[in-house]
Amino acid sequence: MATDGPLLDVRGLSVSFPAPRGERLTVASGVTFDVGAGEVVGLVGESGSGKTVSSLAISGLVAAQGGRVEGSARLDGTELVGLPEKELRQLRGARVSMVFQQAIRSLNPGLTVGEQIAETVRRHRQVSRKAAWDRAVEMLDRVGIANPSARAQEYPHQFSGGMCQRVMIAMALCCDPRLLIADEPTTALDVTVQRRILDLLLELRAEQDIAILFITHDLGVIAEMCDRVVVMYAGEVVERGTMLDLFRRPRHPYTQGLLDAIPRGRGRRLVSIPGTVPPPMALPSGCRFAARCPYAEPGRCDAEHPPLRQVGDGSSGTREARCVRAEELELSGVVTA
Amino acid sequence: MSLLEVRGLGKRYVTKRSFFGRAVDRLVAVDDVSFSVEAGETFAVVGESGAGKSTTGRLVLRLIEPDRGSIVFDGTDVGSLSRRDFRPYRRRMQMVFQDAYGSLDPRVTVHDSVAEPLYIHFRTGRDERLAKAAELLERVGLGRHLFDRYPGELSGGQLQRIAIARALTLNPSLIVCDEPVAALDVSIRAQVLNLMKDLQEQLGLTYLFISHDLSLVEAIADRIAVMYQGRIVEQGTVEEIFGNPRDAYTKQLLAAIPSPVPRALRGSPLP
Repeated sequence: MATDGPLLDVRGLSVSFPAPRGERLTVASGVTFDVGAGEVVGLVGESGSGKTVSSLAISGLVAAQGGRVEGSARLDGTELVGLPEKELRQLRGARVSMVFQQAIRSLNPGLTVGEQIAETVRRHRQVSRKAAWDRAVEMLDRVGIANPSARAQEYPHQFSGGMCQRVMIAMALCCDPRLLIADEPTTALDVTVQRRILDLLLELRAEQDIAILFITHDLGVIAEMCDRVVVMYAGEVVERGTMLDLFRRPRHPYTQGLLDAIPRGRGRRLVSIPGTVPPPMALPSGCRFAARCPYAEPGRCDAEHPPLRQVGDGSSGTREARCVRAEELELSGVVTA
Repeated sequence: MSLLEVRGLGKRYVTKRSFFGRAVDRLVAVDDVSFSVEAGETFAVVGESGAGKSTTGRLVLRLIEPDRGSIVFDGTDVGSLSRRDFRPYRRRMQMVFQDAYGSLDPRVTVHDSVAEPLYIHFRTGRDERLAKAAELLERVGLGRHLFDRYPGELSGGQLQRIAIARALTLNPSLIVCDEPVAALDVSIRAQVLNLMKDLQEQLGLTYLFISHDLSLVEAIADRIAVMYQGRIVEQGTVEEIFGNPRDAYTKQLLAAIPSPVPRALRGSPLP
C-alpha cells in the first residue's frame, strides 16, 4: 500500500509497433491519465483510437507483438513500464486484472472453470488445492452464478456468453486486485445480460473498493458507470474530465460529435461526423481531428499540433482538452439546459 | 395493400435424430410470426440473440425455406412459387448484412461487384453495367478514386456503402437490413444510417430493419416488432412501443438500455 497519489498514474505513455521498411508505427502517443483508488474511469474512443493498446501496454501485454512502450505507468507507486516479465506475471492477476470482450476465448476450453480460477489463486497465493478450489467456488457465487459448486466442475462451453463473462470477472477478482481493466466487457452481450454485468461490476466495486478502468465505445455505458472519462482520438487523449462535466458541456469538438452521434429519440436526424479517423501512418501535423471538425479554422487548427491543456471550469478535478479553440467554443452536451 | 405481408411464418430445425434418421428433438427458431410492412416505411424487428429476428429476415427472402406460413409480396404469394418463378420477385427484395466485407468477393473490384447482379439477372453488357454501378456508387457517396479498389483496401463504413449500392443495382422495393451498422463505429454509424434514410426518400425504398439496438431503432423506424424466443411478443408504432410498452419482455428490454443522459442530469419530474 503506497503513498497518496492516484492508484494508477499514466504519464506520456506511447506505444509503437514495427512497420514494413524498418519504420515504427506509433499507435498511441503521450497518453496521460490517472485512476484513483475505488474510482471508475472510462476510456472512450472509436476503433483505432489507441484505447485498447494503451491498456494492454499498462499490463505489459504488447511486447510479444514487438510493441515498444515509452513513458510511465505507475500502479501504487510501482513503475510498470520496463518491468521484467517475471515481475509483471506476479502483478497481473494479483494487483491488476483484465477482462476482455470475448470471455469465452480468454478461457481454456480444456479445463473446468473451477480449475482455472483455482490455478490463478495458487499462482499468487500459498494455499492448498482445497483452499484454492473453495475460493473459486466462493468467487463464482459472488458473481451471481447459481449452484456454484456444481458449475465450477463444468467447462467453458457449457456457459452462455454472459455467464462466461461472469466467470472471467470471478477469475479476475479472485486475488483481490486493486485495479480491474475491463476492455469492452459487455459489447458482445445482449442488453439485458449487459445490464446484469454492469450492475455486478458496480456492486463489486462498492463491496471491495476496487478501481475500474472501463474501456468502451458506448457512451451510454460510460454515463451509467464512470466517475471520470478520458476521450481518445487517433492515438492520443483529446479530453479529460469528470463524467458529468463532459456530458454537460464537452470541451473538444470530437467529444461533442460522439455525444451527438448517439441516437436520441424519434425522428431526429442523426448527427454524423464526416470522414474517417486518419491512419497512424498518415497523421496530419496539426490537430488530428481538424479535417473532420466543423469548427476548424484554417491557419490555426492545422498550424501546429495542439497540446492537451487545462481548460477552466472543472467542477471537480482536472478538466483538459486538446483544442486551441476550447474556451471560445460553445459546445453542447446531452442536455440543453 | 401492404408491400409485404407475412402470416404464420414458422421454421423449426431438427437438433437430434434417432439412429434411423427420425427427428427426435427440434428447435423452434421462428414460431407463428405475422406482420405486414407498408410501402416506403421502415419496419424494425428487434430482439436479443437467438430471438429469431435474423431467421425471420432470411425466411422472407427465402434464403431459408420456411416450414409454414405465407409470404405475400406486392400482392403475390411468393412463398408458394417455385424457385424459378420466384426469381423476378427476388430481384425486388434485396438484403444488406452486418458483415459487409464477408458479403463482397475479395478478388473483385468494388465497381465490378456492384455491377455483377445486372449480369447475373439480365446478362447486361459490360459498359452498361459499369455505368449503372458508377451511378450507384456515387449515389452512396463513394469517391471515384475508390471504384477500382478491392474490399480489403476499404474501411468498414465504405464497405457497407458498397454493399448498399450492390443491393440497389436491381432497383428493389424492399431491402432486408440485418444489423447493417452494428459493426461500425458510432461516428460512421450515423453516416450510414443517414445515407439509408436519404435513399429511402429518394427511391421510395421499404426497409425491414433487423437490429438488437433499441435506441437506434427508436430513431429510424416507423413501426417495431419485438421478438422473444421465436415469437413476436408485441408490435406497434415507435410511439406505442417506447411510450407505452405492454409486454413484460418489452419493458425489461427498454429498461436495460444504458442511457447516454447521466442520472444526475435527467430532468426530475415536477413536484
